[in-house]
Amino acid sequence: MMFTMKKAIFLLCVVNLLMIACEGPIDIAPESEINEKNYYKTADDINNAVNAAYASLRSGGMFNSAFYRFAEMRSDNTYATWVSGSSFDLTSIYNFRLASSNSYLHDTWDDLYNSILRCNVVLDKIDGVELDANLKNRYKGEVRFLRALDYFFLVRFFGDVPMVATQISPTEAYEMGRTAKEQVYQQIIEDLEFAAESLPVSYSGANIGRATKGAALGILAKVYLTRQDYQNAKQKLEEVIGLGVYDLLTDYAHLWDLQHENSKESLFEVQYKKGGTGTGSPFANAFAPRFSGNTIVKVGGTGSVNAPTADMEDAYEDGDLRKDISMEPGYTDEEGNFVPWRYVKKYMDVPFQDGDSDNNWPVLRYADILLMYAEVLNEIEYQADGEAFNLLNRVRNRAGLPDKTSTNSNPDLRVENQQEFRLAVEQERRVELAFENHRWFDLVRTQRALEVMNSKREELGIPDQIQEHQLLFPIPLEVMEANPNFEQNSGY
Amino acid sequence: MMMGKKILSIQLSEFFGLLLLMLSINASAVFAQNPQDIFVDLGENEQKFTNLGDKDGYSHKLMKMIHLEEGKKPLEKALQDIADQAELELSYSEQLIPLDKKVNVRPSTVTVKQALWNVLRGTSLRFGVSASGQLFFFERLKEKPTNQLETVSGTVTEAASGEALPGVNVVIKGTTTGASTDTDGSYSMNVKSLQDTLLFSFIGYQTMEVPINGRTVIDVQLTSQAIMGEEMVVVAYGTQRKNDITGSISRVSSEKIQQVQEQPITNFIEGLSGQVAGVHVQETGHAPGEGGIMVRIRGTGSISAGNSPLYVVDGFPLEDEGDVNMINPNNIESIEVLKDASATAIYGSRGNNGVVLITTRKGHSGDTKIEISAYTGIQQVERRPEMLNTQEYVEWFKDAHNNAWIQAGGEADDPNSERTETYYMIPEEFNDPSTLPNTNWGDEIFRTVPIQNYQAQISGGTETSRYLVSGSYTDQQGIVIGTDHKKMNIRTNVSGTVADRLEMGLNMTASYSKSNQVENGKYGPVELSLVVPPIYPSWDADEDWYGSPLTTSLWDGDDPSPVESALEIDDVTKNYRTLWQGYVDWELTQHLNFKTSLGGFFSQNRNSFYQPSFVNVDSNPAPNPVEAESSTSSSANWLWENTLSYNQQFNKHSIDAVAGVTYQAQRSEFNGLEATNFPNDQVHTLNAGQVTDGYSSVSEFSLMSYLARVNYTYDSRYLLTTTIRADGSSRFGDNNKWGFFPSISVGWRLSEEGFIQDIESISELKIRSSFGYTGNNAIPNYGSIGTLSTVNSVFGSGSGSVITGVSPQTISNPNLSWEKARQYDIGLEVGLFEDRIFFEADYYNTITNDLLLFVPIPTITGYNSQLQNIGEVENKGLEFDLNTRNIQGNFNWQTNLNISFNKNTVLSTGPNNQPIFASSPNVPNGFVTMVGEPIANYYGYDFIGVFQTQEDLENYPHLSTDGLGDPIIRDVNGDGVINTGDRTIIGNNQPDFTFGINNNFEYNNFDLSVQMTGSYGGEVFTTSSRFTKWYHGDRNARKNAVNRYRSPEEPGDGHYFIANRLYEGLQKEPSSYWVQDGSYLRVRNITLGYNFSQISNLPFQSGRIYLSVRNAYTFTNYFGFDPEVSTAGTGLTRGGDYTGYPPARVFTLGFNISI
Repeated sequence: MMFTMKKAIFLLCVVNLLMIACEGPIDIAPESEINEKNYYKTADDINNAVNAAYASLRSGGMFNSAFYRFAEMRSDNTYATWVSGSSFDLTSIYNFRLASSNSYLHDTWDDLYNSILRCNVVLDKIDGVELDANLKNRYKGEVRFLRALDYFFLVRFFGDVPMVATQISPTEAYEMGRTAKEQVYQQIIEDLEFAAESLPVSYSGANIGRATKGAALGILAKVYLTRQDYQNAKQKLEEVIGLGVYDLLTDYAHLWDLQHENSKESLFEVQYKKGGTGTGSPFANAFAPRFSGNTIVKVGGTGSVNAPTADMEDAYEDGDLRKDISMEPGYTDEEGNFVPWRYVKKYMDVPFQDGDSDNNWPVLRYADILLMYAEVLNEIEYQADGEAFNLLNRVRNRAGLPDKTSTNSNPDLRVENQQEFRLAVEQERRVELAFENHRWFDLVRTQRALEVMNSKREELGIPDQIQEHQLLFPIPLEVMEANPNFEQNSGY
Repeated sequence: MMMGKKILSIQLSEFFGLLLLMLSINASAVFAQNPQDIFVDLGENEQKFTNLGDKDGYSHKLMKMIHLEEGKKPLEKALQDIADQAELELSYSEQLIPLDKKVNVRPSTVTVKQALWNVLRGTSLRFGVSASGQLFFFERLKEKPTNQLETVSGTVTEAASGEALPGVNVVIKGTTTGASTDTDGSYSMNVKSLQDTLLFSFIGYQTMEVPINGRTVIDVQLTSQAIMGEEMVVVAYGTQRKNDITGSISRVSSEKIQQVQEQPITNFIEGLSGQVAGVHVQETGHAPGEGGIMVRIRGTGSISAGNSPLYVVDGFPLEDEGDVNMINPNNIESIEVLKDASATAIYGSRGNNGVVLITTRKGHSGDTKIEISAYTGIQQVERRPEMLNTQEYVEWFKDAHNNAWIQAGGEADDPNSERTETYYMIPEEFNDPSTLPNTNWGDEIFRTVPIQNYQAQISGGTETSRYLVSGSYTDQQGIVIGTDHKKMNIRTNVSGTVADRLEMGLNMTASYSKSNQVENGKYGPVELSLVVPPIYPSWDADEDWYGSPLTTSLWDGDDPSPVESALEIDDVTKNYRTLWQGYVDWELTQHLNFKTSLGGFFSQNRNSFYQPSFVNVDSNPAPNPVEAESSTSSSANWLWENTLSYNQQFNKHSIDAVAGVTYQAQRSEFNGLEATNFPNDQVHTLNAGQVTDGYSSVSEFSLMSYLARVNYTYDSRYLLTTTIRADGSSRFGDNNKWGFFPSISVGWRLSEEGFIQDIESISELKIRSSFGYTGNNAIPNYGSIGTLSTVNSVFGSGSGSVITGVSPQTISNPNLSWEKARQYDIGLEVGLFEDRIFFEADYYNTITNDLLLFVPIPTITGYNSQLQNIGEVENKGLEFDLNTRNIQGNFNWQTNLNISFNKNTVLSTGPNNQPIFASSPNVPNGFVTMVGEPIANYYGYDFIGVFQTQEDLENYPHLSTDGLGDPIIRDVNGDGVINTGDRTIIGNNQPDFTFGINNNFEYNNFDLSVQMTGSYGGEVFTTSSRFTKWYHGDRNARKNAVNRYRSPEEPGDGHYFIANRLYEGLQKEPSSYWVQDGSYLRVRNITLGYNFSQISNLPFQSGRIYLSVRNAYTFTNYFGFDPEVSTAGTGLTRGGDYTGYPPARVFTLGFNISI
């Protein structure tokens, strides 16, 4: 009896050994996914990680949707001509009823910090990889440029935000509070200084579209300008101009055709490419007026968002060539009726499929540099018909508009003092850079937002006034709830 | 040997249950007997022993010397003592033996044979020993003088094994004349007429009625029968006597399974609803075929890892609960639900959520048996919400647009020309609504349609081999247009004794199903039928136009036509599934078996989708780019199991043990293509279009396990079970590869104790208790490993080139481990009056810790969540199950009542006990899981009424934008201001209790069963309310919205607030306004049947026809199609109803015949 029992147990053991031998272990690594244990080892790995950091720019929380919502639709430039039930959140952006629970805020916050993670991963891992020293420096410069851009948006949207400059664990994240805006700006400036030193002036061939020295300097100038540090801004702008590689295109329309992507006027663009690869730009479909069918965009839906306001339409001077290139007051439907539904025209292409077009998004272009330079010079000192006037008029002339001068007989073209020049720059920036995510930031930066927005709301008969606290957005509710150390922006 | 065990177990357990019954049946016979009538016929018996080829030498055991102790004891006890000492298994029919009779035993040392004669003195019983070692008894009948009697003879065998059945009672129906079978199962008796009917009965077997029909030789096979409370129960890796079980196991009786088989359902799990205490079945979708079902055994133990039980088909654990669909309900022999740790710990890291064991039917030795059944039915939607008609809608629309315009500074009577945006304007047509269509979209998308089901089965076998082959076909049209389901199923079970002590078997299932689906939820036709206004035609033949709101400028909604999206979009899923199981069972010795089994489960799921260019889709009027997709997922799951089982009885000790090693591994592959740019809509396969995306992925896991269980029973009174399993899983982190899951349980059958035995009314009384650890490994295959994903970037001159990038996707967690549950259970089983009343109660307490949780982490890390082991959840509850046979006789009435209470409490959510917020689509942070509360509370504002008067506005804190007609929001924190701080808990989906009430009636050949199930105290977060209870994007509203606030003169019902195209307050935020009571009582099924079996001269052996109605009626206050339906069913967001496929009421007519 016992003998049999022993035999039986022996049998089970033999089977067990067979099992272990034949069937293999219980350690299985993912086959279809890259596994972090064996990544970030080679130059290619790092290159791919840097590429991924650029891809963040196309996320919904950044240029694909959120930025035009928060930088254009928040301002007097655009709104949504169509509101469905589920788009109420969109109306709250331009109605100034934005609540912390608005999911667009959350998207923006998450996508920006995810972008920062992609940059931090590269910076944390790159020194452990054998790599050409120049290339290593360039990669660092690229991701520090992108990280600075992320933080620049974050501080302008939310004020104080947690400053994360390396990969952090969830435990560390729970303990983190909001970092003072000053400190965040300090980091932004350091990153951009580094980027300006380590990035090339230009690229050729397959690398076109990556961050350049000029892009870093230009954004840095904008950072200084935002902080009203005019001397530093001036210096950086002069460095950009001094690079000698940028100029205005002769025809404003060329900025928006596909043959002139990454042109000499461009300092930095979000790169898009259609074709079902997930890299297409969504703007043609998003901005097309509702019910326009295929009359405006040949393929895909019509989103009716970011539509120019009547006030925007009126902002163009008579004869401004840019107006018809930038927007349309409506469209003619298939039956030949004119439908007065305004839409942005800068990003119109034939999509490959819905939301999949080729148009790049201009983040920074030379006209912006020139206008910033004009603004800086005027802030430092108003000089009647000085260099600042030349810069302003250079931009105006391309648009087919006459010079503005200090003594012009036409009062509309006369700019007599520093304050008037400020307004002239503001006006020129509005029409030159319309629908490129500058307007709201410009109004806030020049402390004109309350005055401008409230006067326009008054004209429209909207009773309540915008408050100071609405110049910042509320910290997203989910973020507040995940971290009790956070204090909400006042007023929300 | 197997048969012997079965008989024995039934005998022992049946003893008390049938004591009184026997008294009443046999009393007259027993007491009338003259002690002198004892007839000894040993010589004849001994002759037969030799003839049987008595290989184990059992007959010699009759010559063994044993010692009898003095005393007066019941006959059964005396016989048991002798059998124990003789090492024989006791087997007898209660109808034969007067078990209660007390006998005087004199002290003596005698042979077994002499001892038996001593004890049996005073009865007409004789005894013998069978080839398998059973001590059996039969009765010597006195010869009666008869006139012209005919003789009928034959053999009775056990259907499953083909072995002869000695001791079977054979009587002529309607008389007491009869005989019993002898050792080789043969009988011979005289009958008055060859037109009589014989009744064959034997305890533990189904009684058979056989009309003689002129024959003189009648051979019969008896099939073993399970009797309530007295049955063999399938447990993990084996079977066990129900009475010996110390864990909490619910068996779904064969009657219940048969009732389920007759119902028009394609997944038998639906049929379990309300049938088993502690098992909550919630049907989350009723689409034909693969509808959603959520099964929770004893509450929700996990927050985000799976909460579904493990399904085990004939020993094969299925990885995906949906695969259980492959099993044809008609193939099921029994279902056991394992609920506590004692029963489930042997499944280790998969045992936390309970285990459902499914045993399929097998063939039995004997004549070939053919069974055919079919039903056909008519289905219609069970209940439908009522919406506004055109007249009411137009008023609603005008109100909303006017109120928005007034809010923007205008006047209600301003013409459109003065209104600045379309969403303030009122279309011309609305001034005379009678010119507009009045479409009831519900009428357009629901239909009354048939369902059909056909089944055939052939089974049988010889002494050494058994087989069963079955096939079925189901054709179900969906009650929503554009949906249907077809399913075919084949199952074959064969087994045979291939050599001495070696049994082999093979089970094979293949199933194929094909479903046409429509989308569920917000963009599905069912939800669209609620929200699309009645002002559009369903089809306009002149315009060739589906009344899609998207293609008209009457309003600027974003919804397409429900009819168009249901009919014109192809969405076809095909499932192919096969399960193969082969085994070899080697009987090493009489007590020791080695079994090795190899199983493979292979499945393939094919989906093809085509959305034509002319279809309007959400927000986008046609034409749209064609969207087409074709995808395939396939998986192969292998299982190799080796077990050693041992059972032995020494005197009063009984041991039953099993030990084993198993290895299970799965590889799943998924690939698909997407295409667009089709030249036209004629060809829908992807070759016609331009492929835009392709994907392919592989995922694997493996599980290696060691397991053991010992059951020990002393004298059928004291019971002990202990189990252990060690699981090693590829899913867990490097630091935690192996887990150990022990359990122990004890039971005490008080009914076996003398002091209880004297109480006649108590037939069964058992107390049992268990404690153990189980686990839950239902996490993603590579959850512990940080992964990276590829993302495309664009660089380069011209329009650029696409370049690959790689970004972090998830964070590693090398400490990741299984969830651990510690479970206590205490149970009581009481049978009264021969088990006419059988009551079972359980109290349990389960604490699950180390919860596997995708913890939302601060997104400043760059990640949204990390899979961690944190937190603790408690489930405790009470379960009651009561079975009563209320009336017995010509008219029978049985009732089953089961009720389960479960309380779910989160004890911890991690180091800081941070509340965990969760969102479902359009319900931002609408769910919270926090300490001291059940999982997934609904979270939001509490709407307590409507500002109907200026006074209300002064009395309640409110938003600056609030005015008359806006909702009153409870100032939860009492600070006088309404803001995010006033959000609070506003409900939970988990019911206080669920119950089932089942009644069965029988009268003559008629039977009637009525099943009712119910749930009380759960709430539903009706996200559909987000569209239909307030003015939302020009959508239609519930009928009750006519009672809304309109003006100070018409303040409404105080619930529905003012209509406004552009609300400025918190109306759109998650609130109690969306929460509804989800309690219900559902008349799940009513079946009326008629049995032909007792009618002679039929061309078949037995037959039955029935009429039934499923989902007859639901009593509930819930608005919406179904209070059970929850389209967002995961742990953290449980209970959100985004409108799933509604249930059907089905009238069926069916029959079963057996040839």
